[in-house]
Amino acid sequence: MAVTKKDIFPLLPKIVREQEYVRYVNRRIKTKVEEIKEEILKEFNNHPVTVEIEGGVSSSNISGTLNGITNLFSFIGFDSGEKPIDPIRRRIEQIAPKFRISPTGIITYTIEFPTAKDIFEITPLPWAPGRSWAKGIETGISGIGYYIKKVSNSRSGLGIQSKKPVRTGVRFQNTQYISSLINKYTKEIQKLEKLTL
Amino acid sequence: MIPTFTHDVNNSFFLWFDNYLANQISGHRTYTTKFYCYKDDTIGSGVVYGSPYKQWVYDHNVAGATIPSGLTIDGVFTPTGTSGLIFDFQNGRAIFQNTGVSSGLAITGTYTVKEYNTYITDETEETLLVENKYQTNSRFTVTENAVTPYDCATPAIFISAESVTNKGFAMGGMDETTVVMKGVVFAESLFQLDGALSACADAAQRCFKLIPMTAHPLAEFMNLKTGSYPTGYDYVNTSNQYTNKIFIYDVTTSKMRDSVSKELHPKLNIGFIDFDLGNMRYPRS
Repeated sequence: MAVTKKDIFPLLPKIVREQEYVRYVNRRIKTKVEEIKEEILKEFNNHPVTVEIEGGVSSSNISGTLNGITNLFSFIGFDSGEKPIDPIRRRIEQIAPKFRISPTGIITYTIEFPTAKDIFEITPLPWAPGRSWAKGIETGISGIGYYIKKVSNSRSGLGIQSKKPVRTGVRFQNTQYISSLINKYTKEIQKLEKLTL
Repeated sequence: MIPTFTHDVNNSFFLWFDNYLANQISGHRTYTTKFYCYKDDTIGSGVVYGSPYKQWVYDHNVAGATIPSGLTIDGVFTPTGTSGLIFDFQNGRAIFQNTGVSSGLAITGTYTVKEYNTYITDETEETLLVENKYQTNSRFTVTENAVTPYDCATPAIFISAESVTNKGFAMGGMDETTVVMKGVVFAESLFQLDGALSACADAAQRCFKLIPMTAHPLAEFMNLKTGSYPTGYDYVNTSNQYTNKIFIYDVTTSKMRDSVSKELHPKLNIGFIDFDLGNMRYPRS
C-alpha cells in the first residue's frame, strides 16, 4: 500500500516531539546556514574594498576606486587604528536559524539575515554619521574626509600649510559591494525553503 | 538636443522639492523693500532694479506667499508688462526690457523669499563644500542694497542627480530606473538645518509627478513663462496635468560633524540629504 501525505500529516505532531527528529532537522538546517555564512564571510573578507579598508592608512588602492591616488581608508576619512569593517563582519556572523514548532507539527525556521539597509545603518561616515560609507562605495562618496585629513595633517606638521584651498584631486569610482553580496546570498537562503531533509 | 528622462527627473524633482519644502516648513518670508538700480551687461539694453533678496517664490500653491504682479514706481502701482517689466525670480530683481527707462526711479515692491535658496548643480559635494564661497541672502544686513545676481546665496540647498541606473523589472522591456539625488544643505542655524532635514526625511514613500522640462515655469531671464502660465504658475495644477509618477523609495539625512563643518564654513551648519527615487519605464521603446 502506498503511503500518501494524508497518512503522514496526522503523525507530524507526534514526530516533531521526537527529540531525535528535531535534533536531526536542526543539525541539517544549521549546517546549511553555516555553509552559506562561511561563503558570505569568505566573499566579504576577500572583496577588494574590504581588504583595502582593513589595510588601513598604508594600503594600496586595490579596489581601483580612486585611480591609485590614495586608499579608501584615507579617502573616507577614518582615523588611524579604526576598524570600520568589524561591525559588518560581526553582523554577518550573527546569521543563525531560529525555529518554532506549531501545534499542527510544522517546524518554522527563521533566518536572521541582514539587509543592505541593516549594514548601511552600522557603517557611518566619520564626518557625517547619518550617511553610510558602505552605501557610498556603491553610490558615490565625496572626498571631504580626505580633505579634512589633509588639512588637519598640515596643521599638525605632517604636511605643508597653505592658504590656498586644498583640492583633493581624487575622483571616486563607484563599485558593487554590500548590496550585491546581500542579494546574492539572500537567494541562497531562500533556496533552503526547498531543501530536502 | 531634446530633453531626456534625466532632464525631466531633474526638472520634476526641483519643482516638487521647492513646493514641498516651502509648504512643509512654511519656508518663506514676505518683504516689502526698495529696489536699487544696477548695471548688468547680460541683460543688454534693459534696465535692472534689484531687491535685497534672491529667489522669490513664484508658485501660487505656496500657502501665504505673495507673488508680485507689479511694483510701486514713484508712488504708482505699475503692473508687469509696463515698459517691458518682468521679474527675475531667481536673482530677485525687476528687469525693464524696453529702452529709455530711467535709472533713478523710486521703486518698492512686495514679494516672498524662500527660506532656502535651491539650486540644481552638477558640482561635486567636495567642490560645493571646499572650494565655493557663498554670500548670505542678506536677511541680517544693516545697510540694505541690491543682492549681487548669479552668485549662490545661503541658506541654500544644492541638488544634483548623482546616478541613474536601469534594471530589468518586467517582461516586455520594462525597467526599474533608480535615480540617486543628493542634496547639500547650508543653513544659518542648527534650527534651520534640522527643519529642512526633518521635512526631507518625511518625504520618503511619497510620489511626485514627472513634469517635462518644457513645462518648467521660468524662462530665459528667470521670469515666468506667461505664454504657458497666463494666470501664474501653481505646482499642484501643473503636476495634475501629468500622470507618470516618480516614487521616493528612501531618504537619508545627515548632519556634518560640527568640528568638520566649522572647519569648512564657520558660519554655516551643513547637512546632507540623499533621495533614492524610482520609476518603471520602457527605456528602449
